[in-house]
Amino acid sequence: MENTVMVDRNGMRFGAGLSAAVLVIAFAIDLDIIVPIVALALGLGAAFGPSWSPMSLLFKGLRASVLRGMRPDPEPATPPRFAQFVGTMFLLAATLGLYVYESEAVGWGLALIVAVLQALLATTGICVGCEVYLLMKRLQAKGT
Amino acid sequence: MRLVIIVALLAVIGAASVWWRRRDGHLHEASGSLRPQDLGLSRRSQEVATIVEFTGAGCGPCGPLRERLDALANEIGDVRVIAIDAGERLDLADRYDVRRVPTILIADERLRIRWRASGVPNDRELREALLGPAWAGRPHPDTADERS
Repeated sequence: MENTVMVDRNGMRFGAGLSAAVLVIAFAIDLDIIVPIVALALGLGAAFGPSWSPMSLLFKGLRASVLRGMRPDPEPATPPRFAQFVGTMFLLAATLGLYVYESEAVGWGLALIVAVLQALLATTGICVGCEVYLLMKRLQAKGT
Repeated sequence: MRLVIIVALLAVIGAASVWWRRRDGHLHEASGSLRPQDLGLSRRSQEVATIVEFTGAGCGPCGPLRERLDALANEIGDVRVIAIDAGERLDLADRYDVRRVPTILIADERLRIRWRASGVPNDRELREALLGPAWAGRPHPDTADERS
């Protein structure tokens, strides 16, 4: 049987909420450098698995201490990993917009799209990137 | 200007959250029919209400929901529960418009779909769907007892 790497959905939601809040606060105080930092954090999750992102590591630390009673809610890691990859691409494009093209509208526009999607994941559990991944898999299966 | 954008974004996120919470895991009336061959049922299968649960690999809430549905079916009596892995049966997931797991469909004796929910409905809603006055074509067990 194929082994499926699992992640805790609670950790994904926590990480999404944290990165959304950081991006929105950075937008409020016009702190452009946060955009590539969040891109790097998401990129680590996309490259090595969602549990390797700094947000997930922080969540692990919280679970070992203040959130000890929380029940894990496992889900397959691949869809959130894809979602993190898409988020990373958006934030890299946002970084290019801010630093190379010096366009705040493009840079912060892309970054805020990521922030909104992350906030939706945090507050509702809707992972738009995961849904896109599953839709692609479904279309792929139909094509074969 | 930035403050206005942030307030607008928070309003959008808030509205989406409220909409999702109202929708997620709640049964709503639905239409359409289940095909017996999709469920592995023969024409001679017993006519009872049918709950179809679409599950998926790694779906955390699917197992506990199945246990609750089985317990409810045992309690009520004339209800069968059928689980379908949406990942393995993409054709059925497409046919019944299943976009996430768990999704449940509740059909009457003639396999007409009466209710559906995406997410995990609570026991009260499930009982209401299977036994309540809105259930067409199926006698409430209390009423059936009185008639017998």
